[in-house]
Amino acid sequence: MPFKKMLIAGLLFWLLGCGASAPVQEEKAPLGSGSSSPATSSSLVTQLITRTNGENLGIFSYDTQYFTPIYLADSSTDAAFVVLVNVDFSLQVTLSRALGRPDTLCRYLPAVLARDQKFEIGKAGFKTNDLGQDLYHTSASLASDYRSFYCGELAPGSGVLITALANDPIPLESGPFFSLLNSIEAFK
Amino acid sequence: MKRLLLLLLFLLLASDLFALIPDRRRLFEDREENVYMLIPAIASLPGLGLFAGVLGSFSNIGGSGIDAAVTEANTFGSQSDIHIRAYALREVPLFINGLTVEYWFGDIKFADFYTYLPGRDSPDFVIPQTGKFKYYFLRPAYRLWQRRINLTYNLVFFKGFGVNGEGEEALAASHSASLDFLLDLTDDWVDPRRGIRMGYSQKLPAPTKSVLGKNSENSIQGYDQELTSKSYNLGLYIPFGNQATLALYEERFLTTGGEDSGQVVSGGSLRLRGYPAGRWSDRFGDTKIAEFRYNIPINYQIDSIFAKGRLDDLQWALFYEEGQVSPLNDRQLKENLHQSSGVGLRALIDAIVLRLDVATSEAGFQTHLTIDHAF
Repeated sequence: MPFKKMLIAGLLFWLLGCGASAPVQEEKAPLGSGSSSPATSSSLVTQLITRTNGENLGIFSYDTQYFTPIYLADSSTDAAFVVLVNVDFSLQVTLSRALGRPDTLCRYLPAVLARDQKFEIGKAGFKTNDLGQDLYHTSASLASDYRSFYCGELAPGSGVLITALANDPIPLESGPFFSLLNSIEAFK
Repeated sequence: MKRLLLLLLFLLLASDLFALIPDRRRLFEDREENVYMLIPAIASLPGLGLFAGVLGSFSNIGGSGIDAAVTEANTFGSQSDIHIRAYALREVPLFINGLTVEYWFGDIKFADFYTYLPGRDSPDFVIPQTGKFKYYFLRPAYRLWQRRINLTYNLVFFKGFGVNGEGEEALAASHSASLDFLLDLTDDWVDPRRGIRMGYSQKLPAPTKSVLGKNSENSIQGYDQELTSKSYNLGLYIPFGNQATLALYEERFLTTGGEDSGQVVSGGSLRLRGYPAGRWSDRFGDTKIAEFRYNIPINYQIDSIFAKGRLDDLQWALFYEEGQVSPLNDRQLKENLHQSSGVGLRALIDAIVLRLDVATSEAGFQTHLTIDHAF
């Protein structure tokens, strides 16, 4: 009975899951603490991460011995909370508000760099910081332009985006930068 | 005088040209009553979980001429939350002979929906999204001359759910509209084996409210309205003996307007079955397909809970496709073509074509289990 054979063949194909675009298979890993140098000092400043209506979503802190703030948000409606630089290492870090799921934004940004500026995309995946906060990490590079993106969801649909730019990959692994990443915590 | 001579020449040749148009193998009105098929399936997709679903198609219900289709699939288990529900009523006759209306409703939710950036240089890097939307589609159609001339107006009302500035779920609803014209000079509207088919589609200004719903205040239509999208397609069906057909197809789309914005615009996407849907899109695109179809006559009356109707033929197919997209309508459309090829098995049950295609490309394998020919 050809129809039955055809039906069985069709069901087998579907049962085997052929044709589904392969989902991104990624496992969470500990964020780690970066490289040992330079060491993080005790001069830390803590700042709030808020919704545009002022409601607190979370906090983070950064090392003022290592980072110089060149922009600080003066109202909860600002898109960026802080822009930090380290002149010695040509490192610039921006923390800004993020909406939606974290893996969408942090995969979209390097994809645009790859399409429009021919950046090469690095590994991607969830990393869990010391306080249990999941951060989705992607990276992209082009010649001496190295970029890292971390996205964390602090409440359903709202969170934080950390973008880091440097002219060398080493500052993106520095202790004070990882200390900042490990300090991100959602308000319970 | 020259024009008059040309007109005379056209009139003299017209009868010969009309003689080249193949007769219809069957008439739409002569379709068998109450033909249907239901394809139940369970699928386990890595990362998404276990699915149960059904794909159904019903033709000429109760002799009314009305067709219907249903797709329903759900995950069960806690791994993810996905549901797909889509229902369609087609060929609903209106008061004028040849005038019908079609209505679709879809309620779709994907926990993980993988998309690609638009653009010729779109990287092979998927962007996961949570898709949750409702889709309403109304299509009045006017068909003449044994469905050889088809004029359809397509009105779509899309209700998507996103995230607003406070991270809360927000509804964005908007309309889109288009006009399709099809000149079908083949021997059959469902499974053509000889003749030629030409189609044209153009985006039209959409209403802000209709019987389907009303646009939300946050609907982003301003920039979209600046764009003009058109597409052309041409299908050529060449018979080889009584059982084989070589089907050739080309489709071009083009989008103009809003060039000053510098944005990468998706005016359409390539119809390459070996790539994920929507993998290649840009302002301009060109797809070419060659498909060899071989029919095995069966003539078997199916009368089961899964299907009812006469299985006229089983059809095997081999196909090769290539295409490219570009931000400009230039020679880039012919360079570095994306290629895809595959095999297909189709069941021709009266006026329903159940199609299973397996295609491969540099992106891997893709399977299509659906109703109707690709072209």
